[in-house]
Amino acid sequence: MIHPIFGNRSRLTVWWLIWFFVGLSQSQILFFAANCSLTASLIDGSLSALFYGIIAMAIWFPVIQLSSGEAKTGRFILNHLILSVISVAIWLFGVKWITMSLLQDYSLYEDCWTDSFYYRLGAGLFIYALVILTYYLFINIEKINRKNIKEANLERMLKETELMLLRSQINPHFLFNSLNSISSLTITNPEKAREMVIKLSDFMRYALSQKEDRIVPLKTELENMKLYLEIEKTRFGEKLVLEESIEEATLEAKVPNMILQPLYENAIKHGVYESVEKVVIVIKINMHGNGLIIRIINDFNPENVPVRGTGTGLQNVRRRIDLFYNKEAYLTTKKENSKFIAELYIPLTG
Amino acid sequence: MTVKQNIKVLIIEDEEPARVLIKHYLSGYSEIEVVGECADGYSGLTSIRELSPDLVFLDIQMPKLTGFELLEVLEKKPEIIFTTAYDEFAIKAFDLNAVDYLLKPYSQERFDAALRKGIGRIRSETREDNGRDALTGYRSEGSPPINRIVVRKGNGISFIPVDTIQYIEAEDDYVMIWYDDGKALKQQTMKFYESNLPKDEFVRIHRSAIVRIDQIRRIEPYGKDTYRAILKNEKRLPVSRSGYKNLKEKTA
Repeated sequence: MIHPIFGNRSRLTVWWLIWFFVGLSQSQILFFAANCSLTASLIDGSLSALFYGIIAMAIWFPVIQLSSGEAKTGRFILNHLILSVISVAIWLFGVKWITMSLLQDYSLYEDCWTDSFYYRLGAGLFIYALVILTYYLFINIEKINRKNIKEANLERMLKETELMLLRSQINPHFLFNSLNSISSLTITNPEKAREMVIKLSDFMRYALSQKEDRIVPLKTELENMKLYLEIEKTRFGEKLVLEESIEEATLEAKVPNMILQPLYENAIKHGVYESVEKVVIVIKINMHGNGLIIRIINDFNPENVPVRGTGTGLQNVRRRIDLFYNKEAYLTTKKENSKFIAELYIPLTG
Repeated sequence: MTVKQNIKVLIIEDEEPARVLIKHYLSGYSEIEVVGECADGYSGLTSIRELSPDLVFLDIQMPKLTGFELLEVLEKKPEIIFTTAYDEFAIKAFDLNAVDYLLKPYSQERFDAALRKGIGRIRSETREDNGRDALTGYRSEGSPPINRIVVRKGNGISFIPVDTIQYIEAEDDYVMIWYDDGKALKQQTMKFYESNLPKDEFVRIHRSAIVRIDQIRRIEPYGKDTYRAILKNEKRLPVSRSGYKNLKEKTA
């Protein structure tokens, strides 16, 4: 920790200003109350202030040393008793010795010094206590500040990490099944295999992108979801039917990247995976107030008892939009007849 | 010289490209005859019963009935080679006494090795009966609780949603599952249900009983150190000392 006074010009000015007044009061007290000569009072006062100013500044180093350990109360008091006695003694006798060596006739001053001894001792100890208190106050404020900064950093890092983790949760089934489809297509239709490799690569690049700006125009998100859905269509063929109805004005709106993928994945999982019939997945996007509403609707068979999923897909979306938009966004799901509807509201941002 | 019989193979797999690939890998084997292809678990079950194949390539994640559920309700099991995309199921498949477990995408060499193993088993004189008892407790630790139980019903199957189960009683090698619409006998262990039913909803109160917690009306002492649970439908179930402890922990 840097010296709180010495390392700061304006504090240093205030510091010496305070000591100037301390010195001035000391001179006045000596002159009016202790019957010192004017010269002796002035010299003693100035020296006292200068001397104590330096000593008080030096006290910082033992104080910081003492405050860093976990001292017991008794130990703490003892340490400061010793430190205060040494500091005050140096000050008392230092000032006396220098003042005496500056004055031609110091017998009078010696009397005046003896008369004011108890006052000096009291003032010295009092100032010591004030200085120590100030230092401890400073140390604690500094500690709290550091802790706050550390906590803020930690929180930010956690948030970043969490967002990154939430974003990159692509179902490994999707990846390996797609690769298996490609493996099959190399035999029956190499052209299509190559096409699918490219689509898969483009999609993975988007999904795994580690760029800072993870907020993308809706247009970009939709283009990449198209890649994802085309890959799924290769796997499931005619079984998967896609429809869309997207309001033109929404295309430039900003959304977190890969926010739609878990919704589609959920629709495919509960629609297509569980069905032997055709499954229609519809996406509808509209402006709504100060944001946009995205609905993904899929057919499902309400009589099916579903295999329980882990439920992480939709939870991740909720967590992500919470982190991004501080609860201003929402995701709701509902079942109507044989339709499952996921509704996502995202507020518009710059 | 004995003429070796053809080996009948059935492919149960919901993705078309994956079926095409298996057929292609099989095309070099003259002794293999592909007798059918199915795109979902239920038609797979029907086809196995009708065509009685020697060897089945079975996907795990499928519509209607998963590969594992299919095996649970099958009386006479053919040799099974699992094909799946992800290895979270590997241990289960091993426990089920499967021939092999192919992770997609797989090479012709890997496929051939699995197939040779399968042919070997089929051709061998001492064919083991495929795991009547191997079919227990195969779900790995930490997998999410089950949501449905598949049972045989006449010639078909039906699903018991876990939400409707009231209690389960042990009956020798079987368990009797009592649910809202009736009861069903199933070959499975109590241990399996103890670890795979949602833990906050069910409790094992006795060696021979698992009960849905909110079905219990009251508990009364019954002999030394034991208790009796009276359910909402007046059914009485024994509660052992450790069962009583389990119950107290969950309702505390």
